[in-house]
Amino acid sequence: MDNSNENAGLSSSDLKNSGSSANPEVWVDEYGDYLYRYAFSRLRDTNAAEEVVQETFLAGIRYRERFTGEGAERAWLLGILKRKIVDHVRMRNRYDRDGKSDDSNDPSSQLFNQQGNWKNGAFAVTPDDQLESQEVWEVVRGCLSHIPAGQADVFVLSVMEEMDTDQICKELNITPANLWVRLHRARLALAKCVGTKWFAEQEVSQNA
Amino acid sequence: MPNDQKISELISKSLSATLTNDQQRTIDEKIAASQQSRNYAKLSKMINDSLSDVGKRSRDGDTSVAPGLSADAALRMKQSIRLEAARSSQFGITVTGAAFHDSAISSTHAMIQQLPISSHADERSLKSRFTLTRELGKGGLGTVWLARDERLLRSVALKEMNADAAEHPRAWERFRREAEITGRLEHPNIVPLYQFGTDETTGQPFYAMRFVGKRTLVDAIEEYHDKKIAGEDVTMDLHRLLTAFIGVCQAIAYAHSRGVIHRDLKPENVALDNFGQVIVLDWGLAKVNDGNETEGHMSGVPLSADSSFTKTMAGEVIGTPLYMAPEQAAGQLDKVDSRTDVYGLGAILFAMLTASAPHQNSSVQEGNAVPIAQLLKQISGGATPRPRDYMSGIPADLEAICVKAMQFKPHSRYQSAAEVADAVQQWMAGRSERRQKYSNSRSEARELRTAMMSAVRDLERNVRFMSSLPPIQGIVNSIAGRRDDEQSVLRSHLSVIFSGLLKTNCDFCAVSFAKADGSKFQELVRIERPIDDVSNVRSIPASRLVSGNLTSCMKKALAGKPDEVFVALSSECPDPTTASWGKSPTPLLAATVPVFDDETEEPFGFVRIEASLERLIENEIRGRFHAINRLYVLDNDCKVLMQLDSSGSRVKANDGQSMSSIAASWDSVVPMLKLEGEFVDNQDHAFYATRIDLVPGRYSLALGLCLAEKQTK
Repeated sequence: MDNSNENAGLSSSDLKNSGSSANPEVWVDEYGDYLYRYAFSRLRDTNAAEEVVQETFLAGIRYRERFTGEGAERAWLLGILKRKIVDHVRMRNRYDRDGKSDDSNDPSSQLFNQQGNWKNGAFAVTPDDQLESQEVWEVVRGCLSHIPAGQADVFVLSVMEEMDTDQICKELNITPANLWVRLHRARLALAKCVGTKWFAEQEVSQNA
Repeated sequence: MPNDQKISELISKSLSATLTNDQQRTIDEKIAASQQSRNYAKLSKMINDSLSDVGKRSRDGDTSVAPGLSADAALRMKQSIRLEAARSSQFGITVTGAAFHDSAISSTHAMIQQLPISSHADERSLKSRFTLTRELGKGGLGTVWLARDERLLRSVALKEMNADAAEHPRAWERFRREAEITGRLEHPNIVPLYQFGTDETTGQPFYAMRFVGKRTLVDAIEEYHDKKIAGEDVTMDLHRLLTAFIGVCQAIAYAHSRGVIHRDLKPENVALDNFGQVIVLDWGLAKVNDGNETEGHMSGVPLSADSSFTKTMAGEVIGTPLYMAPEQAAGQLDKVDSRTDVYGLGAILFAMLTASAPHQNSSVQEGNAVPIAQLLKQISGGATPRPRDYMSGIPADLEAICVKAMQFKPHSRYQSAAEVADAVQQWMAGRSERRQKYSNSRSEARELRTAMMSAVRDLERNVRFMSSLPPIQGIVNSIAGRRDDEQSVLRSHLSVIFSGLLKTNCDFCAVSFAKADGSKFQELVRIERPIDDVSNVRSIPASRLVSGNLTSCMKKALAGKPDEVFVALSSECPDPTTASWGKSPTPLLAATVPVFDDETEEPFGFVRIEASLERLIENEIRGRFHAINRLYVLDNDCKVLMQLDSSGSRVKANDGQSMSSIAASWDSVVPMLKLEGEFVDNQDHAFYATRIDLVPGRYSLALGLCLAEKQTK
């Protein structure tokens, strides 16, 4: 999560903006949408995404002297944002853990019978290979908000943010075993949710 | 072959980690064979790819992954950026308390030049920012003002260094350090520092912090004790005080985690507002303890410098020996560590419980103030003060927390401020649970009292009914020679009825009908339950029936009106008929009713039921109490009649012993029982007692319930 090494995907416009920290107010117009989309796709919550973006800008002002001007300003801010997202997830995780345990939200009982084999119809529908990636994402995004936040968050950090096991465990103060359980449950629940939604939509379009 | 669930786990794992060849083969085989597993694998992969893809696209700035920022949010952000940027450009990067945390303290000097302050009597104002309103307080090192921040239009507290202190080079260091330490500690329960600067004319440093009002823990403690003395319900006040105390503990625990020791904890240094906010003030004596990140900036002043400084600033340092830990009073600065603050926390708790400072008693001797040097000597060598020496009625467990925090030897205290907070929190949680249990047990005890009294009423009703049975008058008539009925037949009828009564009431020991003549009595029918075989009931043959002199209780019963039942304990009038029970330590409860000759209307004799008090109590008590640790039933002389343990089993070890010899505190309970009929332990919720007036005015039982693990002494 080092803020200086975030250079993936630099465009020419990024480089053009390099060193334009003289007026932070233009940051909102320049990078607001970009950072917000990034944050929203990770946090799935408007308020949370706005909050981390605002914090990113304010931290940017406070730490402006640390921005060396090397590399893009957008990438520098993204580095701060990524840190803020992890902080936010940690807070939300801690709060959530106090309330209800994610460990109790196990989708297995809905999917497997007592012998540990698939229940009839658990995954009866074969996914369509021809789906547009945007279509899949719309469904996945909807499903992410239906599974427990503690599971969704580790899944996002692991797959979207590509954080490794050690990092996630350290940031969220959980054990690797707990992380694996959460990831697996997230995958099961998401697959179930996506499968069901997809099937329902197919039915609707066929009937229409 | 593993089941589907195991396969699903392997599929999940394959998406985040590399599988072994064996595992991969297992999955492949299973997927080939099972449609559902194949579908799950496919869906999972699709989801994984989708997320990973969106992750990349959002990094690249793809606008289709999510909607952009709303116009409202963008506006809000611009405003806050403008504010923050304005603040930071005005004062460089070190503006707020947070700045001490974020940036290098070494930039303090740069800031001092940027923050001029003019000095003209009490109406001075910092050119750019502050107007002094009035003086709030003055210490050896500095004066605290209430000031107005003209830029943000809010009240702040502003501490500036006193002119005389400013002549001392150490004071500069101390003042700067105080500001640095306070600024560095960012915690909701620690006063936030807004700004540090220097007066333009005098060149003396000042700092601005949040104005937290003038109410301190001292006021709250005074209020609590005033209410308590006035007899008001202070449960919630104590709860609020303790909640504030936990806030203080947390602030101190945080400071310790940053290597800072407060060293001057006392109620005066804890500010409270009306909204439950607790703020620890005055970090002027704080010490930076270790060499982590604080070292570079804060331990520039060697500790030895502190001690030399304290000599000159004596007023400030020894202003608070009343709360001081022994190692501090002894001047062993090398031994001062976080556990010195644990002592200080204990001292604050002490003040909450007793309304006195812990060393208050040592500070006065024969009405005169003890010289400071002598007081410090006493503290450094003396025993741990105990709250109970200052005030009675303090919850024992809470006192124990206080005493542990204030142990003479640091290693015997709680080892951290967080431990103190935990202990108090646990006490608070336990207290509400205990209070609930206590209230339940109290209701149970009151129900028992009612049940016992109604059992006596039942006894009275039964004996009255027995005396009205037709065979009774039949026997009376037969003895008077008015009827020819065979007396033995009537007696056997009566025996049958009496036996029936005894069989259905297992606490009854005997039922009898006797004739009285002058000062003598002669039993005519008697059914009794053998002491060694309670399930049996036997009729006493005529040859074994007892006669003798009327006892005082019999006389009193015979003197009564028809249907008037006289109830007495066997101990009140020893009785030859109860000889078979005489060896039993259990008292009997006897209900006697006179029998009149219906013809002559003269007293003829009496019917009497004797019940075993012990069994009567046992019947009523069974299953009635939950969550008690020990139950005592005491007789009229407060000797143990019966004792039950937490499982409801009889414990006979103390039977017959006086309660005072079992629980020393019992003697203080007795007057309450006599006066009020019950003893309620509002402090510890550990013991409850109630009086059961079995024979009003003559014989009472006492019921004692211990709820806590230990008996409070």
